[in-house]
Amino acid sequence: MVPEKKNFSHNDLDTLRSRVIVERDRVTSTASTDFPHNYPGQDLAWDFEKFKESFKLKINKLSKTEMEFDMIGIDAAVANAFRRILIAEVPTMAVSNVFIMNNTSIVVDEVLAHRLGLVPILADPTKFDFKGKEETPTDLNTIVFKLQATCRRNPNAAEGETDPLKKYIHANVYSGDMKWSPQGDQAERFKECPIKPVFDDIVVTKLRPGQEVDIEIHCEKGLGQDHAKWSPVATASYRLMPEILINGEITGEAAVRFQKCFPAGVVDVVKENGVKKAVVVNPRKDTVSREVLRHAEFENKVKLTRVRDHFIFKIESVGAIEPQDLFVQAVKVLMDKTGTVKRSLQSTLQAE
Amino acid sequence: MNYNATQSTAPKAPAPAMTYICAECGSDNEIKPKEPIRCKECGYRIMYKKRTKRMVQFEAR
Amino acid sequence: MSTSVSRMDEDQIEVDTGKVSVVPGTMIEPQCATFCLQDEDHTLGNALRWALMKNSEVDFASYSIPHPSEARTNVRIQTSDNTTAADAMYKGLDDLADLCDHVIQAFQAELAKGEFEYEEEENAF
Repeated sequence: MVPEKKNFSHNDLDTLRSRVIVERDRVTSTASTDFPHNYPGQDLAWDFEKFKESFKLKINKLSKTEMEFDMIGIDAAVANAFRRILIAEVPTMAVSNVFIMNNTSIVVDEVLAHRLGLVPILADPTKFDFKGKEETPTDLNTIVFKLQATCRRNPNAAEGETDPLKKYIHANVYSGDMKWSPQGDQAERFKECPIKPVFDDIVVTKLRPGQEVDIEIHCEKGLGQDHAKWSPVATASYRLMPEILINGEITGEAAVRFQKCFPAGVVDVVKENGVKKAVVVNPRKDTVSREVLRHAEFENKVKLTRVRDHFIFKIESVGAIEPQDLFVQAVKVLMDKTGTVKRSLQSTLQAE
Repeated sequence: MNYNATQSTAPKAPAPAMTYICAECGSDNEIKPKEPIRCKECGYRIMYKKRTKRMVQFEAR
Repeated sequence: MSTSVSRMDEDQIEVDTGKVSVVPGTMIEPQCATFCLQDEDHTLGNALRWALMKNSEVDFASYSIPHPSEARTNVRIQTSDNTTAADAMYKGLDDLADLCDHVIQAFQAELAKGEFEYEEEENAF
């Protein structure tokens, strides 16, 4: 049996085109349909001038590691490309090879090497070349760190001290113990911002008296698609702007019950001529839990949608590259891809 | 930055004294061949061999 | 750390001819073709598909990744008689590049305005 459609303006073409509809047990109208020939009387073909007019970008929050911004007027295919590139195709520097001269700590060599691999490195990847598999390490494609630590008893420790960090010297080996050893003219090239791990307080391994580590570490330029250690972000994500539509008015005590269906700050209850009335004030805060759709009293009174071309984008950098630089680099990667493919296609077709 | 996978060890002396670690007190003990296996510090008779100083290369994955 | 990335150094552009090929037998007439993009995935595949579908002269555009363990993407294009599959491809790529360029400009303009909450972090490193 086909369920009767009771939702207001459900068949409105404009809603179907521009909104994702969140129903009680399903999400509908998910795919983009704004293409030429799809809607009578609407062109919808690519128009750069129109795009420039409608595209909006607004940064909400920025810090050294995180950025949230709104991107309006772009298709999910492109927004998703930006997101995927941020995670997998913006190059960074990361530990690739570990040369262990000595390691008598409890952490076995391969695990120690893996742990070192995941330490984010603060170095500008644009100043390095990719190192091919067969290429030899040079100062243009490799960063070298030395990690040397020996643990011994602390002679100044109090009698009966139980904290290993006080009882012993070098009980923990931290990422900050990785000492950069500049190769070639690297010391000169990076004197403005010396190369180091992003965080100095990552515990790499622990030692007890008599144990030591003596390691040389080589970092290379790479992409997140090869290994997650090269990903410049903890994550990059987006969500679509939620929208809550009220059919008519929700008044009286029902307004309070309606408000309680949403996270704090989404719906306000205002007094109008002495009557309580529910008003949507900040749909951005909504988690779209659909709690409101479980209440029979609000049936046909409310519709939940998401704005299909309004992306709330969040970039959480690992710290090596600042988020505002990451986004620009990501978009440039996509732009370069189009150029590479175009030139290659031209030469392929010429050859035929 | 060049490494030889196997670093050649020094030419062998006639009776090389090897250093072992006492399993009880952790002190280093130099023991020559045919010598009794016994810790000079605590008299314990179980010894560990030291880890090789040979360089080992790992991919950090 | 510098903001700019210079990936488009005009003097050192190398054309990788193995990057794009026409899948044999798919270009019966100029208006249709399946192009094979080496080392590309959904990132470019889906964005390019969108750009192609935005062209009124394109009757059909889609992409597929024939096998998950092979790093290649096929892009199928069929156009009206007013253009060719190759030209539609060029237009799609150019449109996408224009879009990216504008996004960067809009972003940098917004960044320069500085009308946002800037948070100094506690554990600055």
